[in-house]
Amino acid sequence: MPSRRRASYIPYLFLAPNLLVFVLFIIIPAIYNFYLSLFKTSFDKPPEFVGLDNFIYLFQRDDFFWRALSNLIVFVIGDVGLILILSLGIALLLNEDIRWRGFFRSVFFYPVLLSPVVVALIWRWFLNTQYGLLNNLLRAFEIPPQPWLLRPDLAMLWVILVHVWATVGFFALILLAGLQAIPPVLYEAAVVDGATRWRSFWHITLPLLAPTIFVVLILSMIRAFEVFDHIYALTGGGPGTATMMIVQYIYRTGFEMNQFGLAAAASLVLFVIIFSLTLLQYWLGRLREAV
Amino acid sequence: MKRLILFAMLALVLVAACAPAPTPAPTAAPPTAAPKPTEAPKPTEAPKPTEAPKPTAVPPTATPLKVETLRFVWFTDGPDQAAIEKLIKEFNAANPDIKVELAIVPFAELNTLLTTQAEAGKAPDLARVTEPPRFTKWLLDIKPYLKNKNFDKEFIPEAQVLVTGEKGEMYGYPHDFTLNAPFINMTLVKKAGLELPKGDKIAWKDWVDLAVKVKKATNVPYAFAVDRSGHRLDGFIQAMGGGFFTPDGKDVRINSPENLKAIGQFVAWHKDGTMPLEVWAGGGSGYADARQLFVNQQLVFYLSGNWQMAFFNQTIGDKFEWKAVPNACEVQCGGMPGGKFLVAFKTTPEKAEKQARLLEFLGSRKAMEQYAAESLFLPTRNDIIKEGMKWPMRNEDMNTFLKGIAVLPKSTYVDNYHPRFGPVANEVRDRVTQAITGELTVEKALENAQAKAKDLIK
Repeated sequence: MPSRRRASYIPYLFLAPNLLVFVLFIIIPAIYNFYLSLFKTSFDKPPEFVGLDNFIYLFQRDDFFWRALSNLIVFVIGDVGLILILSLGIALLLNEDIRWRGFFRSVFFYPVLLSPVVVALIWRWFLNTQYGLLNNLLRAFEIPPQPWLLRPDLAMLWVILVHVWATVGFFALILLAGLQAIPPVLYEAAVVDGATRWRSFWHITLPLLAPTIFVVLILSMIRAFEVFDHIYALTGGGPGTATMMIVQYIYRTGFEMNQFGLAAAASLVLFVIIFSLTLLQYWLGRLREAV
Repeated sequence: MKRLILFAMLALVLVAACAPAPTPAPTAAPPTAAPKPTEAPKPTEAPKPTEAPKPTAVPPTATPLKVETLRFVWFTDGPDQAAIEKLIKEFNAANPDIKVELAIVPFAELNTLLTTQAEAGKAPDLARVTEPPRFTKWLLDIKPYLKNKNFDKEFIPEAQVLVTGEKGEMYGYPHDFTLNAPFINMTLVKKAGLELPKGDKIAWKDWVDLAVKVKKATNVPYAFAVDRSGHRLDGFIQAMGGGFFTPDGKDVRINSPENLKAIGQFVAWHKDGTMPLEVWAGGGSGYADARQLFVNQQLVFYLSGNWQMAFFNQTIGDKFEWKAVPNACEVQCGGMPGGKFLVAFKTTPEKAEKQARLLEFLGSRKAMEQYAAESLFLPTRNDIIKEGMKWPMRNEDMNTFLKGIAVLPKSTYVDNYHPRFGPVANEVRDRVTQAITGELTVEKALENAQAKAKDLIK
């Protein structure tokens, strides 16, 4: 009995350091952030309590905030849509019995391992108007070079494409795991019954892969809402505010405009959005289990 | 036992929860445009160092000399480090009762570091800063300890005011000056068979028209570029009577008719290809300079500042002929001041006289000339600005900058030294970028900037 009692507190001992770090660097700053969002701050005056004024300013007067929010919605729709389609396609291909399957699985995953800043800098060089590789290729075919990152519409397109390129491998791997969990006997039975590949995909693969697709959907949405480093290094939120997202808006408001209270308020808005998505995922997951 | 462990963990969590709140993160935008770090210039014939006065002989029966250590926090832009270390060595040799220890810190950490140390009562004795008003409540009035009671009158008055208390206290002085000013590629100008405009009142349009002709004749991509910076833009619009703040500094005038005209021209030059989109539209959200375009001879005329001198001297050298030229002068002369201040913090009464002694030494004419010559920075003493000085390299260019300081209008100092200049300049910069990319018209961009700036100065 005494040895069982000794063993029961050991897990807590292992958890304690992580819990301490979590409380110090996540919980306390989060609580302080909520507190800060109720103040107007500046470096040469004490913070002034303004209640909900920061939130009112965000939603009623700050066009940069709305611009960042609308950019974010466009980005999320484009990014998540492409990721879902491409990662499913890649997973289906990688699930086939082809030569060098292991090599191809690695190749699609390599970009995920790269630092987002490295990815963005490489693509920034590649897309440079004057000396970028892409425009040099176009010139070789006598096609006029394009201002890929200097036109607002093109910049948004490339920001989405670069982010998809850098992250699709991760989601493809998740879907590949889901595909491999589908019993092969179902496909064999379908073949015996005369089902085509398309019918097998539509009636077997998709329904059984649906929970995994849903996980990929929610995870990719959360990642898309949090995007910062790729875009900051690739376009800096430009040209103008064409690719400015909420996290960058928060960074600019806090560190360039010295308005930490307003930045804290904006970060709370982002927190509510992401928390809602997480709750949705949890609720739908529970609903599925109940069914 | 299980309960004991659980209680211990709960106590740990409570202690962590009661920890003091973290201080706000450091700001990133100083009101003065901090020069970018440059590479050290090639060794040249330096001015003769001041001879250290012979230490007075100490009688054998006297008590041993008590050496007071002064901690001096410094951040470096590159060439200044060697210059200040040399001066500190000379001072230490001439003042055996003082030992100055230089502590170099990264610029990005400077304000947070000094604020944290001062709050904890552990401020350094002296520091090199860009925003003296942040630290006023911790600064020492050195006037009672100075030999020269009119020492504060030696420096540029518009800058000195930033380290002067309400009752005339002297907390320090401006130590080095920066000036926004343009550079031109003379090799391209000569290749085009053209000459520089002459006279005292040359408008920006005159410079840019010349640059456009040179661009066409020599087939370089761009005629004119300006660093992506609200500080640089302010220097540009000042020549046309523009600016960010009203003369009394109490309000903003972002959407004034003068600014609309000046910024309208600035935006139009971007749209017609005279100026590169890569800098203002493609430069991201923060500061971006165009110096690489100038170094690579893709640019004829470049508005930046004297802090580029050491970098250009090192990277361009003799590859092509280039020179600094005066700012445009239309309604008034353009250009913007900037620079660093040396301040003393309140520490102990015993140290106060020694802090004043060091500051008086570093602010003396000889020391300041030596420092300016070795770092390719500009001095802040009125006598040097009036009489000029000799730099061991690029002397003509440095004196062009020096003459530019003398004709800087008061409005440039009002803007640059306003406590809210940094955020206001960033806002104007980003709004003008929106006008360049076509998101907003110039009028709407400046209207939005005006509204935000009014909020920022409240």
